Formats: sequence, structure tokens, C-alpha cells
Amino acid sequence: MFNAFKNLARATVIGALLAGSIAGTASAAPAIDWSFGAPTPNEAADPFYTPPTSIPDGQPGDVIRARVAPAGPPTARELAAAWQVMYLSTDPLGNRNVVTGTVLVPRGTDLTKVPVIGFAPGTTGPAFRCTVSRWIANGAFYEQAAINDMLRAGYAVAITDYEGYHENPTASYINAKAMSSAVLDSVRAATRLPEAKLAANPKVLLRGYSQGGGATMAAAQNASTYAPELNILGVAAGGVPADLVKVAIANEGRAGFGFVLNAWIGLDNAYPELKLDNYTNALGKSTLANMEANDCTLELLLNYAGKTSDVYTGDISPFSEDSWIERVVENQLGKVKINVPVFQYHGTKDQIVAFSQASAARTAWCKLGVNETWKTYPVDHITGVARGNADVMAFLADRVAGVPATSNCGT
Amino acid sequence: MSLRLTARSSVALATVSASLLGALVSAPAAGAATWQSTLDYTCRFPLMRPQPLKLKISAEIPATVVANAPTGSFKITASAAVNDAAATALRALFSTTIEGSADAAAQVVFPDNTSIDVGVPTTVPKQAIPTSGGFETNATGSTLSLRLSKVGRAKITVGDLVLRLTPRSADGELTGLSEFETECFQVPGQNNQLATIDVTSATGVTPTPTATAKPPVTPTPAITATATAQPPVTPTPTTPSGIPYSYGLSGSATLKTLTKGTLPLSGAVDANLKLSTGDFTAKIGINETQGNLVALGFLPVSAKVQILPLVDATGNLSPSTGLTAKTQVRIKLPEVKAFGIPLGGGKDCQAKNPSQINLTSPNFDALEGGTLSGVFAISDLTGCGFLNGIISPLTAAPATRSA
Repeated sequence: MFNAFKNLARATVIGALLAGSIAGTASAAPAIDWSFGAPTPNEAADPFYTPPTSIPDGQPGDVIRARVAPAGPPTARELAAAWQVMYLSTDPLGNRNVVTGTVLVPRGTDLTKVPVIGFAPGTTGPAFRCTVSRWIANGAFYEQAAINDMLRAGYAVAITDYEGYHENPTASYINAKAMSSAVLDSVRAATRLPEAKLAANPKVLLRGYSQGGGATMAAAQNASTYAPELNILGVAAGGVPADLVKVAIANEGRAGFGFVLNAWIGLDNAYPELKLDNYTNALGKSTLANMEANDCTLELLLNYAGKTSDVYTGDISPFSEDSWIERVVENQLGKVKINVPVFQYHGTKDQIVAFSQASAARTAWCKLGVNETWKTYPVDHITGVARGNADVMAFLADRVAGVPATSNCGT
Repeated sequence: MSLRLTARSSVALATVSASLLGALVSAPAAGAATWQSTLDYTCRFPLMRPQPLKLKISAEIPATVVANAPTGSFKITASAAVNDAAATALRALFSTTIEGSADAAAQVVFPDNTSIDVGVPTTVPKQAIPTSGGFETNATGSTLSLRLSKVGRAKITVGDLVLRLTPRSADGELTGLSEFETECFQVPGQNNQLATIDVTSATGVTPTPTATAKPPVTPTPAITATATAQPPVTPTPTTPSGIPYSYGLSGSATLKTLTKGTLPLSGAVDANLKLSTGDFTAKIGINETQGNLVALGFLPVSAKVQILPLVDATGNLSPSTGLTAKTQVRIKLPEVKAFGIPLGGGKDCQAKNPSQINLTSPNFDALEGGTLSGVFAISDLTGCGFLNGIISPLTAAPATRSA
């Protein structure tokens, strides 16, 4: 309680100071608050993540809080300096919000020349303890091997936590609009954190798998309108959930059903009018409350496998409602052209994010004229987290080197 | 099992109970002692809340080393129990095997509380992950050879671990985790001392030039030996006749007044202790020692000294009086050189008569060891040629404790 009050007081003071200074310099970036203590264990409270009571003025991507953080386990700490940041972004309804994340810069290189990869993380789960930046700092992030590979190759890496990660979390899980803004603004935040010493307008690449694959493609679709100043050279996305309805249907009674329940929570957090409570039964309410309080990836995977929607709902499934379907449809991917080369990949044995809907999105992007390289691997979804890494790294390196990408659309 | 190797307090003989018997064993080979310790850790695995991990470490570490001389590498084996939760997580990611490495942070802590960090890299060979339940992983490795600079009893403590593990799926390919790194932090409040190591005085005292050469005076040997308990390795069936204990032996000898500098002593003591009476017999083996000394105040001399036990030592270990022991040794000086030129010594150069040595240790601990000191007389040397007149006769002097 004490920490919460202290933080509230601090946030209020900052808000007041900024409000006072805005009149003179409307475009000035907000001051970065460096006063928060060190990162805490995943299970502990951490006021760094508590959003300010009023969001400071500034532009999306401006950093409002920062602190030094471990880059991960020992090898990562040798490879990179890292900061946790809170930056301004935009929620799915178009309102200003704040999002946290991690900025990592490789050691021993001229940072003004390094490209920045916006790395969109895979699902870590809805609970506060699953926050990506907390997992990185505390050595629990399962995509650390990919981060280390990027750092070794000399890239700076910006990793969003996505929106809503704080005490009493409100993560808008798998929402394309929220993820797009969070990813693009994480890259801006990396370039606007003075301590990172990156170029103001570096070469930028985006990559991610699973939820991160969806986030990457969403960001790629929106980049030219939301962040036109970013010099994005290419994107790589695997295990892409392009159509949540198809992904959800394929998971009824299957291995990945926990991720579907998490998506219900995410949609409800993103769109207050959906009122998930109106659809869930008592078991559903308690199950989802527990999920949001406690569950991370492993629990989503192990504790709900084989379950079906009707166990948790009354007579009506939320996905049978127009209001829900409209929000899902407006977040579908594959309807907007991506203006940079794309590497999209998917496991042919994917048991969680259906192969067919990803393949369909690829076809749709190709039809829109996207320069897309598509590759499949004979693996399941989880194994696919790491399997595409070498090809992704090669694809991104070619974009930095200026090698023209050769689309395989039509094959 | 966890062994009370590192207990600081003296284990009174009367309290040595039958429950300890299973842990007491015969001496390991050739100077190296086997030390064991069990430590609890909390590990940060990917995807999981912090998980407990129990590590059993076994290490081959000599009880005695000479200061600044290479210690040789220490062989380490460690087994870690991976709990069911962590195993379940690995299985959920379609892992069927696991392999990798484990690095333990270790420290050598000198008597003055300064320390050096020692990495202990070990290899975790590829092994199958069972289809249910937790499992044991076994790692083996060795340290680099060290040079320990500070004389006295150093402690070797074990710190945190870093595991670098690669699970593989049934087709032998990487899982979604690829290779992962896990830090394991030692649970606070444990005794993390794995071993002690006695660093004995080294060679190489810098000659101090002096204008006036003093005539040789009678050298006085003084021997201090520190016996260090070697931890049990394999349980040995108890016999009615007693319990085998083995100790590393370290210390130093000086040839006082003739020379400055000390000769390091190392060796082993294999004792057989009768619990009912505290009586023991012991075979003492002392390695040939050599060192660079300074004679006459300026003359660099290298000497080799052998101390050969002639009989088994006998003695008693009691809670009230500590350890007393007596034995007989013959002192030999196989080689004495100045500027590399033999001055004397040789295979026949030895004390005319055996020396009777009485050793005492007021606070000797059967499990931990302790410092033994003794005073003894050495008779005239014979067979030493030129040195007969210089070094002989040797007389007894009070022992001094080594550093």
C-alpha cells in the first residue's frame, strides 16, 4: 500500500509539473522519470508498471519512465546493456495510453550505426507476473535465445510488454491494434531513450512469433500510417494468428484452449462494451479471474487443454455475438498491404495457431502485392518458436545489407 | 547424504555415534581428498516460477598444496534433482532429452578472508527426460589448476550456479526453448563450505645479501603438521576393531638458525580409531619435501628432506585432553645444493638415530582435523659428507605453527 501511495503521489507531481510546462513548448518530450527502484522479482509488487494517474503530454513513443535492468541471464548481460521503459502509445480505441517494455543495446559497438529490431514477444500470459520485461529481467523469458542471437549479431532490440501489464492487469491480449501501436512505439522509445545512444532514425526491422507474429504483421500493416518516420526495412513473422475466429474454433477441446480463454479476457479489456461477464457462468467467472491473476504461458498450456467454451459460458458463447465478432473482424490481419519485404513462416503441424488461417493470410497479402517470402517447417507451434530463427536472422540481415527480397508469392 | 565436514566445533569423541559409522570410509588415493556437500538452490527456469533444486556435489581436492605451486585441477561431480514441475514444463515443450553444462561459482577463501573466484565448469551429458516425474541430472567437470598464494588453511566455498541446457525433441532437434540459461541462487543460511585446503609455505625466499657472514650454528628442525579430515566417499562396513579415518597432512619444517625459510610438508594420515577407548593407530606418510632456503644469511640453498616414519603412530583422542600421538621417524637429507651445486646430502645422508616424535593437538576434531604440533630431537647426521660438520648435530626445538 505504501508503495502504491508513494507512486501515486509521484505520478501526480509529475503530471502537475508537465501540465505547467506544456503551455510554452507543446512539442517537447516529457521528462523521463528515473526515480523508480530496481526491477523486482516477478511475484513482487513493482510500482514502475503502475500507469500515471494522468498521462503526460507527448508523442507516441516518448519515454516517460526508465530504469536500468538486467538484459536477461548472464550471457545476455554480457552481450547487452538494458533498460526498462514506460512509453506513450495508443490503445485499440485510439486513446493515449502507456506501455512498458525493454530496450537492449549491444555492447562494444558504435550504437549510432546499429539497426533496431522491434521484437514482438510471444504469449506470456495475462497475469502481472508474466510481464515480458519482468520475465527478461528475472530470467524467465522463453525467447531469450532469440534475443541473444540478435544482440550477438549487433542489433539493438526493443521489446514491448504490450499494453495493460501492471498490478490488476488489463492486458488486451492478441488485439492487433493495441499490439501494433505497442510494437511501433517501442522502437520509437528505444531511439528516444538518450541513454541508449542509438541513432535518431536507425534502420528498423520487426520480428515476432505467435502473438508476436500477429503483432509484427499488425505493426507492419500500420507502420506507414501510424509511424511513417520509421525506416523499416523488413519484417519477419511466424506462427501468425491472423484470424482469431479461426484460431479459436480450431482450439475448442484442444491443446491451446487456454489461449482462447485468454483472448476472451483480452477482448473484454480492450473493448469495455463487450461485457464478458454477461456471457460467463460462475465457473467461467472464477476461472477467468484466476487466470488473469495467476496464469502465464505454461499454465495456459497445461491447465486448460481439451476444455471447451460451453464449460465456462451460459447459453450464449461470446463468439456467437455480433458485437464480439465485429471487434474480432476489425482486428483480422491480411487486409492491409505491407510496404516492406515480409518473411512469414509457419509450422505445418501447428496445433495451437491453425496453419490454414496463416496460409490464407499469406495468400491475401500476396494478392495485395506484398513482397512476401513464405516458408513452412514440419513442426508444431511450440517447437516453431525457435525453428525459424536462423532463417529469420538471414532474412533480416539481407534487408540491412540492401539485398533485394525475392517474393515467392504464387508458389 | 550431507556430511558434517565443515563443522567448526570439535566433535567430541564421546558424541561420535553409530549413526556416523556409515559415513566413514577408507582413504582416497594419492593425496586427493573427496569432499561432499549438498546445497539447496532456487532456480529461474524459463516459463516457471522459481523452482527449488537440490545439488549434491562431490569434489576431489587435495588436502594440502604448496603455496604458489600448481594445485592440479580439482575433479567435480554434481547431481541435481530436477523436480516434477520443471520436468513437466520440459515435456510440455516436447522435450525428450536434455544436455548442456553447469557452471558453479566457487571461492577459495584464505585465512585473512581474502578470496579468489574459481569457476567450476561441468558438463551435463545428454540424458532422457522420463515420461513422468522428476529426474536426476549428473554433471562432471574439473577446475583449472590453481596457484594459491596465501599460506594457511583455505576454505573452498560453493556459490551460485548457471545452467546452460538444451532440451531436444524426439527427432533430436531443438525445442521451442532452443538453448536456455538458468541461474540458480543458493538458498541463504546454508553452510556452503565444500572443502578446506591447507596451503603450505612455499619456496623462493629472496636472498638477503649481508656483509657479515655468520658462522653456521646448529639448525633446529621444527615441525608443525596440520591434519585435515578427508570426507567419506563410500560407506565402509564397520568393523569391531575401529573406524578408518584418513587425513591430509600439511605443515612445514624449518632447519632453524642455519637457514631461513621453511620446507613444506605434505602427506596423509590413515588412522584407525577405536570408539570405545579413543585409542588409535595411524600410518603416516610424509612426502619428500624440498624448498629454497637461505643459509648463512645470504647463500641460496635448496634442500630436499625426507621424513620417514619407522613405525605406526599410536595415540589417543579424548574429549578432555585432545589428541596425543607418538611415532618414530628417520630424517634424511637426500640433496642439499647451493647455486645448484651439490653441497652434500645423498641417499645415505640421514640422522644417525630415529627421532621420537610426540604430537599433541588440544582441539583435534576427528571429522575436521586439526593442528598437531610436536617437539623432537634429531641426532647427528651421518653420511652427509661436507654437511656432517655444518648441519649436525640437530637439536630439538619447540614447534611453530605454520603460517
